[in-house]
Amino acid sequence: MRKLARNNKGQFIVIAVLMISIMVISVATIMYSAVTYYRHERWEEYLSIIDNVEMGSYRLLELSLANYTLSSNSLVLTANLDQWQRNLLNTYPQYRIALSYSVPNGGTPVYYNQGLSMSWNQTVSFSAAKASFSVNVTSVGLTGYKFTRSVLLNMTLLDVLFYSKQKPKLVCVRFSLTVEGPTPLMGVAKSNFLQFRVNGVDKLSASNLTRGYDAERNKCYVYELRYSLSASDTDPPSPAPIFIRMIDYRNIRVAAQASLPVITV
Amino acid sequence: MNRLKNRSGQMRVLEVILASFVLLGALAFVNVFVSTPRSAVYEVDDLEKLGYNVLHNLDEQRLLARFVYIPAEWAANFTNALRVSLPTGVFFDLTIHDRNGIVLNRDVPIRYGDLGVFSNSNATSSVTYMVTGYTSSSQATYDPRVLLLLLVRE
Repeated sequence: MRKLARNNKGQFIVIAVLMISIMVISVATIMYSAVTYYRHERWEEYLSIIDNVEMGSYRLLELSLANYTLSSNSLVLTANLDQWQRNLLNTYPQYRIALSYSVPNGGTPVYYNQGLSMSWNQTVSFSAAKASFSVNVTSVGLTGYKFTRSVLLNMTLLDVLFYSKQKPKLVCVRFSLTVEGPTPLMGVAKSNFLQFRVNGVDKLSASNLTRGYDAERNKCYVYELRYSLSASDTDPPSPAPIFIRMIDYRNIRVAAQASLPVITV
Repeated sequence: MNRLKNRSGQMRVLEVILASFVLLGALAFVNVFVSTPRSAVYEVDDLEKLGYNVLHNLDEQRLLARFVYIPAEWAANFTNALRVSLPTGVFFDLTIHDRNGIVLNRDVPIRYGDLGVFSNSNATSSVTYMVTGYTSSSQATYDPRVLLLLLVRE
């Protein structure tokens, strides 16, 4: 028994192994708990609500601008926003969402009237809407969540290409379309065009729509409304008076008008 | 007989036993702080996020307004869009309310799953989502709809 008690070699190695084991197990367990950590945070549901408010406000801007370009009622945005405020409060009464907004008035280069702007019949024509919002979710003490949204449809008339040596002769009116961002507007079909006049003559039914990227002159995506000249048609004058009116996928309208240089190819 | 007298490793055995106790103690102690997920799949909180994300994605793709404001879309396209967007094992019932709270699709249920599933499931969640309006080439008026999406899991 005395010999057994005296047989005490190697205790430090055993203690070290024990400590290392404890450390490894502890770290592994903590890492596991960190990876699988899941706890419902109360504010997560408010993020969803705020997302809904942001998306709804943006859709409301689009809708109001579409209405404005249809009816020219410059008060439509503020009237809609007032209703949106009230409806949000009624829809989420448990959250007590207070939405406040401000719309720009005046300004350059875009002149806003109650948050709406319509500059048509120019070489660069656009329809635009803008509003700034502040959201308070008073039930959780979230205040001052701010965001600004704008909506834009821009049409820029570029030039007219005249293929005089082709038979039949071909006239291509080129223009660009952009939305907020600025992002090129894609997916435009001929059905989106309401009017297309060259030198006062309607050419919409006789024309085709194509799209391409102009890397040489304009460095942007360009749409072309092209039509062939019949034997009885006269060549387009230079500059050629062009008028185009269109509506986009959001039902926002814009009309551009200018006398464009004719480039004979 | 010699083997019986060979008692030099007994202390080591005791140390190993002690070490085992220490390890088990450490494991038990750390285990107190581990919070395991309540469910590996979709639990109630996740159902809410899931439902909200589905509606938000449809709204971002500009499909939601068309689905909501055109009654002809309710039975087929809207229901199918929700079915393919939600994972299998999740059932739903969506009601569309106008601004006065009147249910507009009372006669056309936008639903997937037997009514029994909705009655018996313990994991139930609901999502409220607002849609501001739908524009066409001839009109663009503010006419909000409130969507109430009820989600249950098997």
